[in-house]
Amino acid sequence: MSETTTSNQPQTIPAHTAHATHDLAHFHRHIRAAIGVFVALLVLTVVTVGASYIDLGRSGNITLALIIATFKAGLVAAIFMHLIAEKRMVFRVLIFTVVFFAGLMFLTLGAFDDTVSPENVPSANVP
Amino acid sequence: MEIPYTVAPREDTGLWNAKLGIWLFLASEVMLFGGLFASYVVLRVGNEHWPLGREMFLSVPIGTFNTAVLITSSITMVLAWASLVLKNFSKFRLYMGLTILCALAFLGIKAFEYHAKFTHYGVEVEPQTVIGGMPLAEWAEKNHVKLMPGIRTRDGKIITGHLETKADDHVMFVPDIKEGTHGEHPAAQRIEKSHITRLSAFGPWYNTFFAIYFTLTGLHALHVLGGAIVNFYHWIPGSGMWKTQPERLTNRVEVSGLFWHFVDLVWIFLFPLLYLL
Amino acid sequence: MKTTVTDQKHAHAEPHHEELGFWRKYVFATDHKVIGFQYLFTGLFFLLFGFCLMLMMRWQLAYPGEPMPVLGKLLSEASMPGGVMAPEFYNALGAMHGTIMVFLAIVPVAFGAFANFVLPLQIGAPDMAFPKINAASYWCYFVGGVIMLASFFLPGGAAQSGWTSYSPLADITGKGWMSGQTWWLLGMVYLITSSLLAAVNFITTIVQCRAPGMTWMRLPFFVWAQLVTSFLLLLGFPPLEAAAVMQLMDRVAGTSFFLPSGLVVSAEVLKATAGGADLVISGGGSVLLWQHLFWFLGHPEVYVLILPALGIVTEVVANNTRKPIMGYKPLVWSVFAVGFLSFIVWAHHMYMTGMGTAISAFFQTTTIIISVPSMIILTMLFLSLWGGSIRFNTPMLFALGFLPMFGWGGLTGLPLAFNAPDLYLHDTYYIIGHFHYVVAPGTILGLFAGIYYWYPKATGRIMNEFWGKVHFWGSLICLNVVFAPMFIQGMAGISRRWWDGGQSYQFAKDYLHLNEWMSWGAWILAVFQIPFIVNFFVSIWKGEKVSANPWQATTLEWSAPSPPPHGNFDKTPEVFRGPYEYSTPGEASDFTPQDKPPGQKPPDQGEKQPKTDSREA
Repeated sequence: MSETTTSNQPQTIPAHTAHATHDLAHFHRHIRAAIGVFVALLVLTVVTVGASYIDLGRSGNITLALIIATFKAGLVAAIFMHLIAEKRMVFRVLIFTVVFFAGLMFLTLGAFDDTVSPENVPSANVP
Repeated sequence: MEIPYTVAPREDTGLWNAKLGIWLFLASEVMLFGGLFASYVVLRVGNEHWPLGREMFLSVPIGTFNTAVLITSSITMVLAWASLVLKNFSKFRLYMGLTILCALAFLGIKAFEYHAKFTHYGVEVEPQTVIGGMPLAEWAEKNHVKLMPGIRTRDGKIITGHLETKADDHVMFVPDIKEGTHGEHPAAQRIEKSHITRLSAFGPWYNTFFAIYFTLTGLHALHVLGGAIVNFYHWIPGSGMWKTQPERLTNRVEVSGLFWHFVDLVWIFLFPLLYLL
Repeated sequence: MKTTVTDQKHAHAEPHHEELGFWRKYVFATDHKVIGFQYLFTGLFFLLFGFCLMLMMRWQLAYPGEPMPVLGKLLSEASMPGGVMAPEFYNALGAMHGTIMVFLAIVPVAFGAFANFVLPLQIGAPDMAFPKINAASYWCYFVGGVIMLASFFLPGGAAQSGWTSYSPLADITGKGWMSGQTWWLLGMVYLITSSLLAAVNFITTIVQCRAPGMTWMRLPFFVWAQLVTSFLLLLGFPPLEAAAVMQLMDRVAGTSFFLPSGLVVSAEVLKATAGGADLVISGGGSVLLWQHLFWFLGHPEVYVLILPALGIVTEVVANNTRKPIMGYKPLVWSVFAVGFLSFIVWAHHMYMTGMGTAISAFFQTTTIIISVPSMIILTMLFLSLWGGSIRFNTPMLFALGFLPMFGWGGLTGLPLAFNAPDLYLHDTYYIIGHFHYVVAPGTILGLFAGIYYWYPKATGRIMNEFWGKVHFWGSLICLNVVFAPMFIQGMAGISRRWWDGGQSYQFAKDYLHLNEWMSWGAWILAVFQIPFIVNFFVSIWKGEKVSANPWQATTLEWSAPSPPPHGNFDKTPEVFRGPYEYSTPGEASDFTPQDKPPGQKPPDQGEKQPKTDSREA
């Protein structure tokens, strides 16, 4: 078993994490924020479930649930996954991913939505 | 020559290799689940009647509990990594163990849910069916059984419940009674096979809702399993790296944590879409 | 410092590595060069195999209904009753020819082999960023390939629904786990995983492991091309993986993601399997959903097929014109534009599906726009020839052959970008001609250029020049004989995937004689690959030995020994200039390697004695 240090001894942060955590105080703040997010996620889960029992019409319920889910996902991404302090290169990759996902979703739906149908095709005059 | 930037970050990008690597991989996972989500939307929009999760007997309390389990595993994962940063190996062991435990709990609950679906049936009968000596509608009224619209035939009706026995010419079926009804479950009822147009458990073949439910949650569960296996590796077999290259182990745990949070993130969308909406 | 070929096989122990056993060094290797060879040999095997499948198909097309010599007797009665090809077998050959060529041959060679071998050397890295993941990606590919090959031996044979595996046919042919169509899906999952792992690895390596001084704008264009290719695979493949999982569920779990309700097959409403338990399918699916998910990858995939070849050709052209490539920056921006746009053009493969005018206009527009950066890249390459001191060695011949062939393939794509002409040309031989021109006289010529070009780096020997030229001229002529008539047949309305080549159709009869021409072109093309295969293997042992930089090239890989040892460079190279410093005014020789410090003598001068450079750093 490796030796363990007890947490009341002065700690040093390994150099490689310095970029992400700057210093000890900042790191502890980050951890406290994560715990706060944990509580928020639990609360928002209960809110999501509760809201689903209120009748806002089908689209209304879906929209509200997706808004809450997106907010929860944002918290996970920003704090748990530490995107809030992440490097530019990572954002470049993610922004293209989001764009292409949106393209896949909305262009596919668009193709299903906009189709040739008898109403929009002039009748052919076949001699 | 050694491969550069495996632990220390490169100056101009600010990243060490595995950090970039995992984000690239997660980008591909976004597209994977994104493809499935896009399919879900297309299928849902294209179907006239899309049932609510609870109409299809998905248990909201169980799903909510499972969501809480996964959220808890995310914070324990953060704390596991933080323990390594603060050089507290025994705390790392504790929190990583909790994370793996939560993962196993999630999978166990999911297995329970799947089993419940595979043993829960919908039997579609013709409207003129006679059960317990009574016409169908009368029987349903008397026994507080909900009749759902048929899928196979236009005026057929679906009774949900559990299958007690199956014989050549009939089945013995224990029907579900309506929610909020007090009193005992009715005993098994005999339904003649000649009146049955469809008898099917709530598996992926039952309807499009279940097809996408099992595919989405199944693929997600595989990711939970994969993440749990990697976390287990860091927890025990690979933890010897703490003695030789502690920063590298810390990085590995951080990178596995990113994957783990992503898995949690997918569930944050899956849960409301499938169970609540 | 040079090591000889024999030294490389018994690698000296380095400070941190013990001597590896045979299995760790050559089989489960993590060295990018060994993995590159693994990809190359496996990929070239599949290229040959897929080619042979097509040679068999061409017999049926030229002489429909006639027993095939030799193979007619060797293959099973199910595939070749009485020695004559059964229609199902023809379809299986067609589907597997496409699948194998695209996923098991071209991508593994162009992307897996070439990027693996060349990329770390060109950026001055000791290996890829994740060597174990590199090995994993090769072995995933290998397993996927085995599954695909094994599917031929299943009852019912291999997949028969085209390389595009369209539902509903792909959902219902054969059933259950022991069917070629199911194994196709399983194989695809492994192949996709392989590409994803490789893409993560290559991108990380390019971003993180460039040597000091190797800024983004000093990268060889080959590296840029592989970077964009990696992103196409990374973000394009997963939706197909999702679709493959769903089609697998359709085949084995009774879902109907891609089957509409009430589908009628052979006059029966599809609802149950014959015999056994009542297989209920869930109903309410969409056939078009498969097509969208498939082509979302399918289109970026074709750019995956072409971009590495464009990268290779750029290297060879720069080297053999002895001048910098024209328009480095436009090339870089164009390849990014092509990569980005390739994700939003996919439905031009689906004009026949009843799309409305708005969505169709969108895809037509993006498809026409994407032709612009593609054209810029090709134009820059053509313009690079102007004023060059062209050396007509074998790699350069292949590169020069590539340019007009790819151009022709690209131009024939223009009518297809528009919905109206595409309605006529879709699924005809015109399409087959179009995409084969881009890939067969296109990419494959580029890959041959790369093999002849980097062979000396990999082996320390050079391939025979005479037989290389025989290989080139024979292949170029035969490729045109095979594919050019397809445009004529296509415009006459002859459809693709007809197992009898169009015999049953009255309107086709004036053009059927072309089938015989094309088949003979294909069989003679096969003969001309023999000099290549022989040359490739014989030169490993008997080829003329050359120095580390026989082409007098500027990029970093030529500064490493031939073949490079494990770790590639003794110490980290430092880069001082761009990748194509050929014939720079004021320099002593007509090429200046990227890592030559300013003011120093260039290495490997050959006969020319360098003057001391008066400019000091």
